[in-house]
Amino acid sequence: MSARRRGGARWAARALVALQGLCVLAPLAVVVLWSVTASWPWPALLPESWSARGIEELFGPGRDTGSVLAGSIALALACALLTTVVATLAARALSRYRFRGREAVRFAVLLPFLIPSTVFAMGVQVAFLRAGLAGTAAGVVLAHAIVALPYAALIMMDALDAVGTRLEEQARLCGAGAVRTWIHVTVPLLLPAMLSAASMAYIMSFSQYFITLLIGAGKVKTLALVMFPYLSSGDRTIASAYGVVFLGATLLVFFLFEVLLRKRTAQEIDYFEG
Amino acid sequence: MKVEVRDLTLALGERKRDRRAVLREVSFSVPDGAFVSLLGESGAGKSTVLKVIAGILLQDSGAVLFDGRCVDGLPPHRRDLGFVFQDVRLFPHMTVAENVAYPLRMRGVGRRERTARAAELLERVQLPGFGPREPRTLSGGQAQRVALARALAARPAALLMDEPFSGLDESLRDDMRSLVLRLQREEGCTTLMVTHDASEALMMSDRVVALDGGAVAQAAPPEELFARPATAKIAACFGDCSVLEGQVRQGIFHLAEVRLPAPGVPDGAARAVVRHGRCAAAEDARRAVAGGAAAVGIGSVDAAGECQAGPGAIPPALAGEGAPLGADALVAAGKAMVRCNVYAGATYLARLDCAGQTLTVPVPAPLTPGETVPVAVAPDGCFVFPA
Repeated sequence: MSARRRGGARWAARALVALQGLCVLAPLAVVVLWSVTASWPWPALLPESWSARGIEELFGPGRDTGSVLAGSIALALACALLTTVVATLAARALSRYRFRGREAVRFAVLLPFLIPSTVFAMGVQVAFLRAGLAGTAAGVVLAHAIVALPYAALIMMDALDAVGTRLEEQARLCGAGAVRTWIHVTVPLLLPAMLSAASMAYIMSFSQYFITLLIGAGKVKTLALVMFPYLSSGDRTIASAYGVVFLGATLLVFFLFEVLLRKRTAQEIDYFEG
Repeated sequence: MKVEVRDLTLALGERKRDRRAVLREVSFSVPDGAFVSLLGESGAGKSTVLKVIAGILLQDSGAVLFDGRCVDGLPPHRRDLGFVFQDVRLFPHMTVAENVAYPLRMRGVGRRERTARAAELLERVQLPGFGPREPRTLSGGQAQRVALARALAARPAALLMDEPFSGLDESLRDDMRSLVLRLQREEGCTTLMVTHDASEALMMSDRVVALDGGAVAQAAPPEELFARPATAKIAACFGDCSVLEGQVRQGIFHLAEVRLPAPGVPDGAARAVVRHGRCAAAEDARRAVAGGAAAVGIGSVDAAGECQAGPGAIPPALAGEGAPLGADALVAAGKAMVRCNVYAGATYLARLDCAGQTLTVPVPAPLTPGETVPVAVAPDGCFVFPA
């Protein structure tokens, strides 16, 4: 009886997982199909005719999709690096030191969360215009980093609290100064969280449209920027082709982050036991 | 190296109004090469003292001296100490050998030399060949031995240990204690160990510093701590004893019909600690009294006076259960009613009722509940302190 009930529960769980998978994969499948479709009138279940127009449009002669893609990835990587470094240092200060106005600084770090990015982007644009950063890749990286910072900082603050000060204390007592303690003990322990923060920042940057448009002033081209006009003009084939490239690039980089790098760092560190 | 603390005072708390005194003028010293234990219950400030010595915490006032030199200005990593925490704290991203060699690496010792020293130490903590393993593959006892090896690796000027055995199974603790003592002797390293286990402190130390409420209650060699405890808490911390609250009148402790010798204790409310191994009831007590033992408060006060033992007169008591009590060691101590018996292996323990409080006495066979029996105590196992 109980075995049968357990079997039922297992089937229900499998059905739910399958349903969830369907919810994620079905729209993706539609995008993939659209990218090679010539026409897909309404009641038809599958496209009527196929075409390579999307692929030609993207990668045909005279198109710069490849370099835009490379630029987007480079931009996003730079943003991920910058964000992770700043977030880690900020989180360390916020979780380890007691100082005046600590709560205010903490709030400031998390502020971009609360403000709609359109509102916030205008302020950034004004500031960057004055600083001469508008229209430059560096400015775009910086603006993306500001948006990604709260997410990364939250991850790093939690990670620092989880790592705690126990092993840092032990390192000090083994004769390591503050710098060597940080390099030999804290950073290796934080590495998995830093990778999470970096991939978060990477995705934020890679998929950012509005801020890139405003700060980059059209001079900094990213994949999201190039893709957008096709979406709004209703050319689904080309928009979907861009979507597929977009997805592939994200998955590839994510795979590199998650699988390759993480495997090289300490796997599943048990912070509390030994 | 001689470690000394002078008048350490420290209050901890996030905000000013919930600051709480953790240490009150703590002073003691650890002679060069000695093994000293800091004994106390949780919250007594033992670990705090250790952290102040290590420099992880800064005292509000007072000084820490190494060989007479004040080290208050030195950060923890420049104090040249080995530290073993209760929760082990091996670096999870380093191998066992890298963990052990880490203090050497921090002191600029070359790779070949530190690898050799790590291997040597691992061998001495009975973990030969464990070098390439990862810390998480170790058992609790193995991990603690690696932590010990790491603490000793750089031949520190002193070794500090914070409850190093309390995370281990009972069966492992004895082995670990012998290992620590052997290594400590071999390395000749001045050692200060925090423990809440009084018998552990007795077995391992040259000297015990008992802390209570952030202040030193007694600092003495283990024999003296056991034979002449300075407070009721210290007397009771060795376990297997009854604690009674009563009144002292003219050098005798009274509770219901029980009387205990309390030489030199001022009249008034008092607390008595009676060690199980040093008292008897019923037949044992009758035989002792018939054999000519004195009585407390029965007959003359002089009789009680006779049974008093001045400081130094008592050899270190070997209480242990089953230790034969010479009849002459006992004095009659009144009577009490048997409430119940429990079986404790070597003997039964009779619980005697003293005005609602319990006096526990080992007996060879269960006594009849409800019966009133005579009681006898050995003065060297009976301590009375003003409450």
